[in-house]
Amino acid sequence: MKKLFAVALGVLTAIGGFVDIGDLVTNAVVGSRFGMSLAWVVVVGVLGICVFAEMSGRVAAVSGRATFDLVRERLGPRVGLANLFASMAVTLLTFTAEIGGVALALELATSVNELLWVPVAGVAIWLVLWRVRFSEVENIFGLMGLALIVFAVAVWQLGPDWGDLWAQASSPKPPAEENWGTYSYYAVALFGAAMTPYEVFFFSSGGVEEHWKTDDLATMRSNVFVGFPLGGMLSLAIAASTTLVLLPVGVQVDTLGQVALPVAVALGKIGLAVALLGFFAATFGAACETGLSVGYSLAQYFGWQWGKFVRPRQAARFHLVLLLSTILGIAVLLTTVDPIKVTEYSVVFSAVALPLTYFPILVVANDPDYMGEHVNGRLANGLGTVYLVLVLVASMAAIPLMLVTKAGQ
Amino acid sequence: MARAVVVLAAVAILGGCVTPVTGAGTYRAKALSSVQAAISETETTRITLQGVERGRIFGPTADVIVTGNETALGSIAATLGSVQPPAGNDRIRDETSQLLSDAEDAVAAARIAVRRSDAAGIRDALTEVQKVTKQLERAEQALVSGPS
Repeated sequence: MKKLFAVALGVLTAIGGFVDIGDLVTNAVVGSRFGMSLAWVVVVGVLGICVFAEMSGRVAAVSGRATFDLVRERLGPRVGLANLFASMAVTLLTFTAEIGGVALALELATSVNELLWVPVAGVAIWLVLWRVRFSEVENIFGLMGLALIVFAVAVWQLGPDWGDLWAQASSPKPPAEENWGTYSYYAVALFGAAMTPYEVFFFSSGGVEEHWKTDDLATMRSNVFVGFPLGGMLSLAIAASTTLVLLPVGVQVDTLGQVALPVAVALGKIGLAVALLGFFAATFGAACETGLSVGYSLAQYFGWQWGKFVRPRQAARFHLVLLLSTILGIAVLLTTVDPIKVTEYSVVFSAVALPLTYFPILVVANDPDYMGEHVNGRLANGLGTVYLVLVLVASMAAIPLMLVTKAGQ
Repeated sequence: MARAVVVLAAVAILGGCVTPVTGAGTYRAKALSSVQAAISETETTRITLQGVERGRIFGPTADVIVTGNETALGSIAATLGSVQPPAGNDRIRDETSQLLSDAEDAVAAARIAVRRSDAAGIRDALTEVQKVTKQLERAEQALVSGPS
């Protein structure tokens, strides 16, 4: 019974914790411009994150060490440093976007300007990172994030022509008023949003925080293979809601308020309140995950004591990194940069950094010295190799597409 | 060599200060994208006002959305206004700028009514926003269909 509860809780928090500011914004933008014609990218991206999250979770459970704890040891300091720079830069950018997302969610609920909420949100996130237990952070915000199911309810309530939505989803080409350049740019952005590097940092380090053993592999796999795809369904529901309400009248999403509008149209104030709660939970939870991921990656590279499973005093440098990252995120947002723009750039740069994140995972998961009998099988290696090619293509295409399309304009 | 580098640097820096002179087709495309962006903002305001009228959106949320639309319209107008129109395109510039200004005024009225929770003001603003959206849609059609 206890095991079943752990599995159910893990799956639910995986669903609720799947969507972050990048998924919220990118799926809403894509739905309002391209309808459901990019839904296939979400499916491809979710399968990809499942493949690599399972690998990194398995590494953590078998070796008792986070994947990136092993990268420098296995691949040497140069590859480790390249991996650290690329992944940490993108994760810091994502962390900044998440803090901005919390501020925007609070602004929507109160109409107090987001710039006044930014320091409040930043301090609250830092306090949670410092004081609250890892499992509590994961469970509370993961469960609260389930509020985003309201988008699926809104889509059902709007009474769409399901045949038309399916026709759009099964027709992977840009609508008449868009071109292949912007379509490809948003395909890469959506792929980057689904496969954000911090998700594997967090998943793998979280496994060590929670002392996973090989007995926990089944629970970990159920979280990944049930929770993540259901979380991906929330992404599709967000895209479908803007497809139904905003696309027909020519509204292109550029604020978080526009993301919430279809829910208000379909379900009124109660639905809107639940959506705002979902925005807050998704961004706050993801801010904690990205903040921790910055600390994890730096501490693991330099071999410092890290994690929330020890007292802050014992992992002083790790907690100092969390504090400095939070201050940096707040400072960037207080320059009045638009958090939505930060989000849009963060998902594209995520795509650029993908190979440096995922290649080392594939190498470590194939090393019998670390993995023993749990080394990658043919299926994991086959899928891993296919996805490595995909992330390479996305990575190489991201910057040229950004320049050619003027960031998707 | 050093002098050539200085000259090239000066050209690059000063080039950034000059408002670009564009061709007629490019200017028309810029005007079209401005009009389309403006429609996106006025339609967002319309949906929000209808939501407020029907009691489906909280006042603070509506305030944030409509204020964002107003700010965005100001930015769209400023961006188009800073572009040097080629000779013979003054009419496009004048008409588009006027429409963008009307849209900003209509959305500003909506923002004022929403902040005051003024039901009559919201109804009036909704009418104005719908009217200006129709004008923007007509302008969009004209810009798509060819030279004026």
